[in-house]
Parts: sequence; C-alpha cells; structure tokens
Amino acid sequence: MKIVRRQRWLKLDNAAKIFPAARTRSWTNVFRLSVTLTEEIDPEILQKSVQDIKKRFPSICVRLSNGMFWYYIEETKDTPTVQPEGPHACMKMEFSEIKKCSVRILYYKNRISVEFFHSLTDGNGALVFIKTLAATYLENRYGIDVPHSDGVLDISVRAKGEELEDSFLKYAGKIPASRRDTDAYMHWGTPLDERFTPLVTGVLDISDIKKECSKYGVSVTTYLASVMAYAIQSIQEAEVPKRKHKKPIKIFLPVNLRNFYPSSTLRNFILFVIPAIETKYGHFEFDEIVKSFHHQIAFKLTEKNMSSIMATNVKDELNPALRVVPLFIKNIVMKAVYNLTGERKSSITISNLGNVKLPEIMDEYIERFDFILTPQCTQPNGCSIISYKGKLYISFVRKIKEPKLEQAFFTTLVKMGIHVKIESNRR
Amino acid sequence: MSYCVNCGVELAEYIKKCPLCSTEVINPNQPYDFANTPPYPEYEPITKQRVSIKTMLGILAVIFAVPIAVCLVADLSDSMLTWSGYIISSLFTIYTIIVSALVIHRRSVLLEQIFDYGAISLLLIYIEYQSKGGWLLSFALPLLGGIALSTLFVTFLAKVLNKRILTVISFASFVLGALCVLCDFLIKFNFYNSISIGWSLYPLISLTAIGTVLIVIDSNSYLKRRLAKKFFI
Ligand SMILES: [Zn+2]
Repeated sequence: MKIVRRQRWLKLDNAAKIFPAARTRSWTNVFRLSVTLTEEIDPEILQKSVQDIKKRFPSICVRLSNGMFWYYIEETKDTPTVQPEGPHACMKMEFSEIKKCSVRILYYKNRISVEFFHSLTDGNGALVFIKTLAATYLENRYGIDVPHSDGVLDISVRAKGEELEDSFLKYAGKIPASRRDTDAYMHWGTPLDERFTPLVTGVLDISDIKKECSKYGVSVTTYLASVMAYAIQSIQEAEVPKRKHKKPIKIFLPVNLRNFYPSSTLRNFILFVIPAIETKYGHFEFDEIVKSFHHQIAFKLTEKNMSSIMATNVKDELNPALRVVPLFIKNIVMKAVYNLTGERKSSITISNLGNVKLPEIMDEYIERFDFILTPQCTQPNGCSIISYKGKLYISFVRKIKEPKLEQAFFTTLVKMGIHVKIESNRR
Repeated sequence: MSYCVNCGVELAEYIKKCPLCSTEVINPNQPYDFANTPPYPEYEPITKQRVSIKTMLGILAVIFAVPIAVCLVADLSDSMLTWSGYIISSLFTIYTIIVSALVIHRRSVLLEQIFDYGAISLLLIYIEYQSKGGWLLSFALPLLGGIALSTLFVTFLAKVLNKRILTVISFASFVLGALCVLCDFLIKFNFYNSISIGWSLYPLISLTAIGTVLIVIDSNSYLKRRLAKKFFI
C-alpha cells in the first residue's frame, strides 16, 4: 500500500508577513546565497542532491499560497528544478512563480546559487540550507562522508519541530516598544530602466580588516557600518550642502536573534539595530563615527530591547479584530503602512552573515561563498557581507545607474590602507 | 593584476572598465586577455516577443472589413447607399489612426499626429458634405485646428526639445486653458451669435495657476527630489 504523504503547510512567520504584501517592481525581496566549488557543477548530481534534501527542509522547498485571511507556505509536491544561472541576479519573483516554488536553485560553472523569497527564511536559515545542499552534493559527487556539524543537517531524519517554529511568537516580550522614529537620509540617482541588477563585489582580506578593528576595539560589523556611514556622509555633503536640509544617516543592521535565544528555527528570526549619526550637527570624523556606533549598538543590542521590539511586531498579528480582515484588504493596508513607515527610517541595510564554518572535510572542495541582498523598498542599494577562508566578500546591488555608494565605500577602505579587489557582473 | 588609477582598487582580471568609476583599464604590461572567464553569465537584455507589424495590420484589415461588408450589404438592400457611408468613413478613419500609431509612431510622433488630424478632418469634411450642416468652416475646423496645434506644441516640447516632464505638464495646462477659451468662444459665436467668453475663464484661471505652480516646483531641484521620492510609482 502506498502511503500518501500530506503536504505540510505553515503560517508565515511574523517578519515574513510583510514581504508578499509589500512587493513592488523595484523591491524584489529576493536574496541569493552562492557556494563556489573547485570543479564545474554537474546539474544532474545537483538535481539529485536537491531531491535528497528536499524533505528535510519543509519550510524552504515551498510555494506561497493565499488563504482567506493570511498567506501561508506549503511544501511543493515536486522537487524544485535546478536551472542554469541567467545574467540577471535576484530577479523579481512574479506571483505566478512564487506560487509554484518560492526558491530557485541555479548553477553556473563552479557555482551553486540559491535564491530565496524572503518570506521563507533569513540569511542564517538559508545558510544552513545551502551548506546541507553543498554537503549532499559533495557526498553524491565525490563519495565523501560529511559529518553533521557546523550547520550541515542530517538529511536522513525528519525536520524537527523547533526548526519550523515562528520564534518571534515564542520569545516576544510583554511590553511593546515605541515605533516612532525619524526619517533617514537616502542618496538617490537615475533609476535603472532595465531589470538588470548591477552587482559589485569587493574582496578583502579578513586579517586587514581585523587589524583595523582592533585599532578601534570594535567588531567587523561595527567597523564596516561606520565605513558605510562615513561614505554616505561624503555623498550627502556633496548632494545636500545646506545644513538644515540634512537628515540623519542611519544604518540598518539585521541582528540574528538566534544569538540571543536558544532557537534553531530555519525561518525568519532577525531583528535589527539602527545606529545613526545626525549630520546636522556637523562633519563627523571617522573615529567619531566608530566610537559612537560601537556604543549605540551595545546600548540597543540587549535581550530586553529585542523582546520588546518583537512584542510590538507580533501585537498586531495577534489582534483578533485584525486577523479576520480579508487578505486583500490586509495587503493594501500593510503596503500603505509599510510605505509610510518602512525603510525610509534607514539609509541602507548591511546584512553580515559572518564567517562561514564548515565541517573540515568540505573545505578542500569549496572555494568561496557569496551573499547578495537586493535593496530594501525605497533604498537605492543593498549591501551584504559574508566571509570564508580568510576572505571577506562585500556585495553591493543597486537599482540606480550610478555606483556612487560603492565607489565612496570602497575608496574609503582603500584610503584606510585596506586592499580591495573588485569584481562585477558587468565586464 | 590591474588597479583602477582613479579609485585605487584592484580589479578582477576579466574587467575592462572600473565598475566604480567607469575608468578604462589600460595596463600596457598586461593587455586584456579575452580568455579570462568572468564569474557571471554574459549580460543579455530581457526581450519580449513581438508580433510583426505586417501581421497585425493584416488582422486589423480583416476585422475592419467584416462590418464594412455587412453595412454595405444591408444598406444596398434598398438599392441606394445612405447611412452606411458614415459608418464606413468612420471605420476608415479609425483604421488610419491605428495604422499611423503602428507604422508612423516609431519614426516621428509629430508626423503621426499630423496624419491623424488629417484623417479626422477628411471625415468631418465628408460628414459636412453629406449632411450640409454648415458648421465645418466656422466651428469644427477651427476647433480641430486649435486642438491639433496644442497637442503638436506639447509633443514638440516633450519629444523634440526633450523638456522635463513638469515643464511639459505645465505648458500643457496653459494650452488646455487657452483651448477652453477657444471652445467657449466658438460655441458662443456659432450658436448664440455673440462675440464673448463666459465659463471658460474658470478653467483658464485654475489651469494657469496649476501650470505656474508646476513651473515653480520644476525650477526648485530640492523640492522636486523630495516630491519625486514621496510619489514615485
Ligand atoms: Zn575606478
């Protein structure tokens, strides 16, 4: 007798709810993680590996569906098909595509790339997925045996309940924090008239950066966020010379909440801190920014703060009166509220996934990791960072023609004596 | 290994132009090697499938031929062509407008409009000739001429002089105000036998005000950027 396995379905987690509603032409809400191997990818083995791991990730190999009141995600019946990578990174997923499969698995030369619709998971959950995919691929291709550690999951067992939970609901505090905030400065340029996403990646030696960080006694993220604020300040000084028109420069830094709570969820579980400098007060020197950011981040990044922000975010979701509003009305309202309050509150998002650690046996087959994050709603650029084997990969994607920010950011690093190698998807 | 002389960053081997500042990479010691394989697929623009214009014109001709034939047959049943002339000439006018949109549009928008207005005036002349209404020279043609001149002027501003969108809109509202006055005048002159203007002053004043506001916004770049950010679609 054949046992029909029911397709598992899940509600969207608290952070994911906004993404389907707030999709626009210029806000794709797609991010990409890539792993580059030492040899060319065999698509058939890749397809088999996807098949092998699919059941282990019932919250990632999914499609988005709409219920009467909320969206939900549902396991796909078929295994996602691997496709050759096209020239357009992180293309917008049309609803018709999201409703078939909300994840794309791509290959190009030595590289496997996975593009996720942000409702499924955050960068950390995605990293577990791509590590496990790479491990399974290596096992299938080279017959090696990869231990189940460092984020490589055991695909012979079933998905664990805690991996599928919405940790926001579980760990949210009781007292909501105030949401009020002022608008941030955002540079702008000529909108791209094509859907191509220009991508610029800077490759740095992590030891160079660490040396600079220890000079100031701060973390890599704090240091790079300060470089970013300094670069944006130089753009603002050129574009908005009048002091009274200046708006604060705010850097949106996603925070992995798994570092605060014992959660092993593979779904979204991130919040953010937004260190800022008020450029109305005058020109900030770099060391002023570093010091200020270091303290601002330490001040905001506490468990109590995080739990109260979570409480604010889940409050509306738990309100019974709001829950019964039909989905299409929710969409309109959420979009409007988001456009009014959303990402205008920060100048840019920098998502740092940190240093990728793998089981030792995998290291000799793998060259590098890349992480690409598309720009948030109204922001002109997206910036994402990942590091592996002593190299730091800083990727910029933009939706304006001018690479102002990329240039300002990387030349700032160069002036600080850090060697930067630039790559791009345009030659 | 080449560096950008402007930014000071090292550039990957396959790069010909600095992605940050567009400065070309010229390294006499290391000419560009086309064997370098870039880590991303070659860029191709996203193209949409297009139906050829000839097929479209053919299909349209068939679509228009059917009602024309039906009208002719129905009208000929009492052995004289009477009402079908109006329908056929209107259909011809519509067809010419569609053809000009498909064929002439890509060459010149101005020429397309001239062509369209020509077709419409031919239709008007035909109706006047058939119905002997006596309104063509004193009313219809001056009004059509006014409309034609205004749209041609606005198109000229937008497409030929490439003025900014706000400038174009403000001039369009000035012209629209003037058109209201013309229309008002012609109606009064033709049907009430008086040389005066009345209601058209209200749209004239408000459209002029809107146009002026837009010109002011257009000349203030800070205000404009702010508005563009707030209202982008
Ligand atoms: Zn350069």
